[in-house]
Amino acid sequence: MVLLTLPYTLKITGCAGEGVICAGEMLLEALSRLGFHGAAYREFPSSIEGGYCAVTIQISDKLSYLPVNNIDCLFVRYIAAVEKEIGHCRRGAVLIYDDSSQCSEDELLALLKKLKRSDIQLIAISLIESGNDPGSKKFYSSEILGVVGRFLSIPLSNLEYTVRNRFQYKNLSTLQRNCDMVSRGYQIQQGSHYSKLPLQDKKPFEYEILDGNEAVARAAVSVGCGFFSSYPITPSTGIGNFLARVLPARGAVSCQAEDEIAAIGAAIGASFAGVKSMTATSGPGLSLMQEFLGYASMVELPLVVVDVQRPGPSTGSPAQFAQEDLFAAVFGSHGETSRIVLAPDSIGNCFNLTIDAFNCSEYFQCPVIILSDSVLGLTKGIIPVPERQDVRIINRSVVSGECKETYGESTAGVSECKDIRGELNGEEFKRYSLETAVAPIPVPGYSSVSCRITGLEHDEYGNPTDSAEMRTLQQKRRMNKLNLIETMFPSLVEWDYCTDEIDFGLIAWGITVAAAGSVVERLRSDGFRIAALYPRLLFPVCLNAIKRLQSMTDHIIVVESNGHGQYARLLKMYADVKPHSILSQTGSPILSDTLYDSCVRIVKGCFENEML
Amino acid sequence: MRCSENKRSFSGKLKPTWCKGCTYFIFQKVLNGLLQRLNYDPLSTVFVSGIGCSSRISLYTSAFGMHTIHGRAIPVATGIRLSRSDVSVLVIAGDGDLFSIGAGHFVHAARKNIDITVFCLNNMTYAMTKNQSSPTSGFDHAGSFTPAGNQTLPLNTVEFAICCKSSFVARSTTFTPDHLEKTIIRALKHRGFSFVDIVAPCRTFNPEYFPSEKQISIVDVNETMQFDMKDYSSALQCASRCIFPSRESPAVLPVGTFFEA
Ligand code: SF4
Repeated sequence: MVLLTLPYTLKITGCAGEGVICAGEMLLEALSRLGFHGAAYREFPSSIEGGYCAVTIQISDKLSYLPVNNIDCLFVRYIAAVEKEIGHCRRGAVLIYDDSSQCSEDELLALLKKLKRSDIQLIAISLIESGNDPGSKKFYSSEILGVVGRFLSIPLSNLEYTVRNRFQYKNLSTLQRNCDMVSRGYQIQQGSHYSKLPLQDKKPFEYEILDGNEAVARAAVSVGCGFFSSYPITPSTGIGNFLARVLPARGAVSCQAEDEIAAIGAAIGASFAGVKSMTATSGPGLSLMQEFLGYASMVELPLVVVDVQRPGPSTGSPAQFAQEDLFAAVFGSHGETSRIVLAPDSIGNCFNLTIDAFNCSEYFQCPVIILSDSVLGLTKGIIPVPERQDVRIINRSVVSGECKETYGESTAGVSECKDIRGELNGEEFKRYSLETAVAPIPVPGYSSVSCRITGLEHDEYGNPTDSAEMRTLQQKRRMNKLNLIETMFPSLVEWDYCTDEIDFGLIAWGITVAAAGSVVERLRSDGFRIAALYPRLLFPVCLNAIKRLQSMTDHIIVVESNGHGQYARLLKMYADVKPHSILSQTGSPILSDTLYDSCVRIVKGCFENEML
Repeated sequence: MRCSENKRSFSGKLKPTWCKGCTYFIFQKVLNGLLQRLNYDPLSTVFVSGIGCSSRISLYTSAFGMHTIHGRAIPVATGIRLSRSDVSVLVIAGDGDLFSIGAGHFVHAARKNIDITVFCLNNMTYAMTKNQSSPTSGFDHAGSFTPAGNQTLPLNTVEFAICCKSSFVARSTTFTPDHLEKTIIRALKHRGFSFVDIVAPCRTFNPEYFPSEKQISIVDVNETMQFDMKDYSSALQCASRCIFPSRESPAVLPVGTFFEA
């Protein structure tokens, strides 16, 4: 029996509708019960039925590991999948194939020979279909779970428990059939190839299995989001699905808008009404929202916009991955707007960063864009249940008073307002006072003064003005009010370094951080001295952190999944850094082995840019 | 929301920049007077508008005001209403704002019967950009983009609003402040999506509507036409015959309440 090393990556492939993704999610659940961390990344075609479908399970002993490693074990039912995935398989990887479908051993051997991959170890098994009623589509999930579970030597009782859990609400015969199938799969002989995962003896932690979209939605609920409106779009729809179920029971509102313009417009209306609000979309929707984003910056209302990125331009590739919306998030909409752009780098961080996004928007009174992506959004991860007491919540300053800071779960609602009419002495209230970075926001139905807001340039009272001098002062204030963000929210920048003496610095953002993290470890064990910087605050650029990295080295590598090197270019513009870019436009996240090779090439080849 | 204390004025401190004699002054006076008389609380009332001459009104009130972006007053108002059932939400916007760039939003707020009151200050032109044809301009209207005359029939706003399943639909005009006042009261009292088309010609760009050049005759459909305003098809049939300005008899302005669910 082979003892496997972690992280271990297993990929189950098949056709949409066969239960492949269900099998992967059940495997993740079974693993979580054994004390592992891990994630299941789902790939499916844009169509509902038919087409290539896969789930990648990353098994790890570390928190929030994302599927960015090469494949150790591949499960296939069709020979086409071998051709597609073999390039991502490690040397010596295991290939489990279903010889009852269209995979014959001879064909497979011939193919592997042609591809010069005779290193691959083969295991043949025969599935029987476990469709719930004959004639309907074939559904193999539980049987595949049995096969893969046996391969990893997961106890059958755990797998059976998982299946019962998953199918508990189905009818009895379906439940029974699936229980039979998991033990049938478990009993299929796999020759001498059985493996074993290293025992996890850590004390069990309270965990939940959430994908990035659900984590964002959960955080919105915890922070007291009272209004959510959105228009369905892949891959962000999961956020709306979650909130539509959860918000109404908490006295909050979830609303399906007629388009993305209406979605963000309604969120802005709710924010003016004193309620924390959010909208979620993907690239095409973000394009539609740009005018309103400019408005929210101008009238200075808190607002959170989630963009679950997918490759563009235009409709692009809805089911694939890219980090291409950074420029649109930072510069989209006319004029110069003050806004904040944040990017989560793990599923667990989708939760924390959404809390930060609300806090920043309440504190600085401006829109905050969360740049998630299709992989983060759709990957299920085992994450610790967020400790409610640890959630730091900032509520906007309403007339009159300071921002309110509390800890723990917040309920949706408006903060109390004090009567300030006496203090004003009959003078109009200065909603856009030049004496402070941000002034309190009057709330209809609560405040003792009203206010009128406009996208026209305005004076301190909010009245439209043609004065060039006032325009300059107000625009400066709106731009400068974000200066303190890096100091105020230190958790928005993550460092990984041991010494100030370094050979080079590595910067990654979003999900690319997962691959970068393991590459940095490997490079360090090769003897390189590296400082890694993982900014979650993408805009305004985290100048303090960048300057510090610059003081350590001239050689900075930026890794990201787009063609322009968007973050690298932001750094050139705002921090005068001349980084070396590693870019990828493959439609999936950069794998750690690929990134490792690329980093080594750059370091040895005197720092040239690299496009994967 | 009504206020408990004394009646409070809705007049704002800012002086409107409308042209002298603009019909919007009439609307503003009637609306502000009514809100005060009906004991609305300016601190619990929000005026939401888009962009255009009429939309400036949300800056000229003592209530809360949101002067938003072109065409999008209705979604913003929807967000306020859905998140706060305790404040009154009035949308005041122009014909281009509501029925050209923002037409898509009107349909859905009406369908969903969002409890807001929408006033269309219909001046039948894009006045702020100095006279281009709008969705409600008459056939042959000479706008600066259509100098040879606009060859499109105007949109019948009341017919459209009924088709979208608005639960209250009326038309009035700034020419008859008394009728306007009565209509606004009905619209404000109505629970659900209410729409009032207010024909308020632009003094600068459609001078033909003002005495003494060409008098228009105002006809109250509730007095002159036989129909059941509670019945969808009867109301729709009546509204469909009451387009303004019509090609055949451009001088006839049909006003009244067309539909009330
Ligand atoms: S241009 Fe017409 S609508 Fe605009 S303010 Fe002047 S009169 Fe009124």
